[in-house]
Amino acid sequence: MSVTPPVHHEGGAPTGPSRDEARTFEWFDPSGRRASHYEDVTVDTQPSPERHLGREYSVFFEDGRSTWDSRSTALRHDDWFAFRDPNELWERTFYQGGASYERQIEETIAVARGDGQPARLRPEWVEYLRANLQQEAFVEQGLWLVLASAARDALSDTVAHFVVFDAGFKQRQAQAVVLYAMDLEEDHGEFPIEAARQSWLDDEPWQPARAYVERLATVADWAEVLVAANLCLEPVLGVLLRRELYERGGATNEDTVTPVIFHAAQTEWQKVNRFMAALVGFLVGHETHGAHNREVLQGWLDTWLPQARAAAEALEPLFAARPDEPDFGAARALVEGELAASLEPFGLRVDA
Amino acid sequence: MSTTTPPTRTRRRSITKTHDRISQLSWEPTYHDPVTRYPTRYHMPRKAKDPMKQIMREYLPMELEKDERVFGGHDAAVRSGMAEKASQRWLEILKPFVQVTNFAEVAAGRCMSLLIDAVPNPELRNGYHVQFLDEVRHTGLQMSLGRWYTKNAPEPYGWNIGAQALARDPVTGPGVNMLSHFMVGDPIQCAFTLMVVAETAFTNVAFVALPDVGARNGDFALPTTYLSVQSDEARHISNGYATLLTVLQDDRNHDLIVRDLQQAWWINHAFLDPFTGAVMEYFSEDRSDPECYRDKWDRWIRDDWYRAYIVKLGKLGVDIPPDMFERARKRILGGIHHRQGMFGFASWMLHFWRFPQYTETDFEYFERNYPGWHDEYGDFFEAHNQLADPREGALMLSAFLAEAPPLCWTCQLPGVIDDDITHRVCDAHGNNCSPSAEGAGTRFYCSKECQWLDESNPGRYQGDRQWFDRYDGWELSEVVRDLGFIRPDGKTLIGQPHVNPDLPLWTLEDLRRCEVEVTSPNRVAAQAMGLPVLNTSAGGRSNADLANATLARNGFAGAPSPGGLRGETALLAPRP
Repeated sequence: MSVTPPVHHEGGAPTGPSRDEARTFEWFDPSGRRASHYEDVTVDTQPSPERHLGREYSVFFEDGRSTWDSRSTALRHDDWFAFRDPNELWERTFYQGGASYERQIEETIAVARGDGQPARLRPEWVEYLRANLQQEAFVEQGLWLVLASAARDALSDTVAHFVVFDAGFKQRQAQAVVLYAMDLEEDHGEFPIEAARQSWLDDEPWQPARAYVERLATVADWAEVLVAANLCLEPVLGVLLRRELYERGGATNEDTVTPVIFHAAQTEWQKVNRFMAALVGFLVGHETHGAHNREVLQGWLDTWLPQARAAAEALEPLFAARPDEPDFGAARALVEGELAASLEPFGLRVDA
Repeated sequence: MSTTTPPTRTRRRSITKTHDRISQLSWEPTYHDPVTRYPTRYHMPRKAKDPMKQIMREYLPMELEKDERVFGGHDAAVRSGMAEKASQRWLEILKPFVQVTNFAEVAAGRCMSLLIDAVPNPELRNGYHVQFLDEVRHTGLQMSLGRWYTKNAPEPYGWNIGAQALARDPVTGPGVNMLSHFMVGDPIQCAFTLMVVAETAFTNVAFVALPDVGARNGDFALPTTYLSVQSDEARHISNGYATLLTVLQDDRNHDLIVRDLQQAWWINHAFLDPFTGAVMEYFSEDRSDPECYRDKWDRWIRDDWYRAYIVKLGKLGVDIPPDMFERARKRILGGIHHRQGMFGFASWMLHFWRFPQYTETDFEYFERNYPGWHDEYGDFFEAHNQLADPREGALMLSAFLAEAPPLCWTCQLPGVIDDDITHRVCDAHGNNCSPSAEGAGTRFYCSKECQWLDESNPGRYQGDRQWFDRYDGWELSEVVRDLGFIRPDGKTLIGQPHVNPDLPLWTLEDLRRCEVEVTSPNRVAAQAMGLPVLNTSAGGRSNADLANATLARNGFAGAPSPGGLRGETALLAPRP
């Protein structure tokens, strides 16, 4: 039986100049000696008149805006496509990462249950989780919504794709918390999402955070959304909640599962953090627009950081209520120090 | 001895119960009114249904598993030497096909952000974002496939410049134009164009029927990839239907739905039918397929989509007039993809892939499926065969340009059906005016439907839209040089009129010897009719200032965010 496809081989061996020289995508300059798979499947998938379109975009919004419009952000760069995500995240690595975190959580819960750990959790810790755990998911949900929307306008594929993945992180993280609450119900009774929702809507400690993410949905500039979300709220409040309150809180309270849920989220956050550092460096390092970009970024930090800090400070009662009574001031100082250290190399201040 | 129970998966959760919990994460904002950057004219009812009920814990491993199969397929294709065994003619047409479909994914993803911004219903937003992730997945898969062909296909030229060539090529450029309708315009109209028409009607042809043609041509890398893409499309189709059902709840939307569905249908048809039909039939070397493009169209688009979906909307109170659908089918029966195929073949040097010579088997196939085909088109393809050798020193393009129909202002393709061509004289803003008015120009259309799209969407189609205008008066080889469709030796063209290794390859010098001066069919037609020629060479567009004003007024471009406190200025428009 023939294994050759039933095809007439029109053409045969090719002729002409050597074909070895045309075996790579030649429309962009790779960041390294050779283009990575990430670059090949990302760079210039979003056409641009500044790149290879050869003419203007062909279709416009009724109000005159273009398919993609450089006026969609106050930041300036003459080649957004030169930016590279240091994580080199593309769809396959995104799914590999997300699926592995979810599998890790599932396995951790299964092993813990096999070991009888949920039933042995300290009652006061269980009650703490019941009262507070799921509100964190609302923060992630709020960030998801604005990031998913901001991806429309990002001025290059290398930025836009990561923003979509960032939104995907937030969606996964929010859902993982809710699913975990459902798992806890198997041993500890109701963990009602309705109560968490009401707390998010009404309880004082959460109101500055809620106001913040609601305000994010009023911002037209997609890059300002990234800054307000990922340079202000996430480092100041997101890390405080995920790492300082729950990842460490779980460890202190002999809970082996809760830290894994939030460790996965922190792993994703660190990718976002690396992305943002690269993006800020890319923008402030621009030869002609760098000073302008630094000024704009500083303006956004000055606008948003005080509110992010207010939202973080409002969470003090959550720390005070945790059974082991952690040092809120120390946790706040830690995340603030990390934020300052991350922005200092770019000449950005966090003293607003 | 340990008494530990072996780890097991946690019990399987009820999807509905889980989804109900997760849907509780949405709330109505009270501190700040959300501001939409992309307002819709539609009235959005508060009630909607999430058709996907996708949970990340299920979704992420599912997509990873599908990815593993696709990339495993790519590895298998290397080991089996598939690229060498597959039809070379077929592999050539995948150069534009993969680039065009990839841009469809790019635009589709952005459509999802547009919808998340414009549609306030959390049930729909969840599905939209999962679809955006899907679309980025499809970009990764399709670009990976292009990368695979670049590395493994016997003829890499064209693959290596694909993204660069996409919008410059006069065949794929109109694809960029059409696919931009997925993400530019009223968000709900974009949703219809993408999800209700392109994904529900055309992906079955482009991502199921066409990969079948690929398999017949010895190419299993394409089916492996595109059928995996298509496995996500079912959910996207559900997203489209849920969006449609949502806006259907409000009677005030009915007229808009009727209008927008027809326009969405037409812009899809205008490009996708001739493009997909030509890809399938003019580049398949295998002629064993019992279905021609018309048959596939009738099966997937007429029966499965139009009759089973669009006509049944009447039961929901929305009667879509059948005229535009019937007109499209008439154009297919009238040979639109054959005629557009002729344009492609005549202009082979302006493309980044090679065109085959036809054999008796090919001629028999066309005559068998389209009786009368040979009388209508046979001479052209016979001549194409004869002129494939550069030593003949002649090009079909010379004769073609002399009598070429004008390109359509809206869909950008040649108006290949004479009786359908319309025109109007208008100013730079698209307002009808006297031919003697200052700035007057003539816009030609391939059909009255494309004219309707232009007239009823002011400002949408602007600027430098007519491909041949830019090169009017240029010597042909200089056009190819400007396009960059040249191999690394600096002289051999990427596009060729044959895939025959026994024939020499055309070079820039061969083209120069043919002494062809490019003329713009649009300018020629306008002048012949005594109408004013449209001046698109200035590159300016009438709505640029309008955009500046809108953006500045609404806080874009440098103005610090106003904070958006309740009652403060909305950036573009409050959502309905």
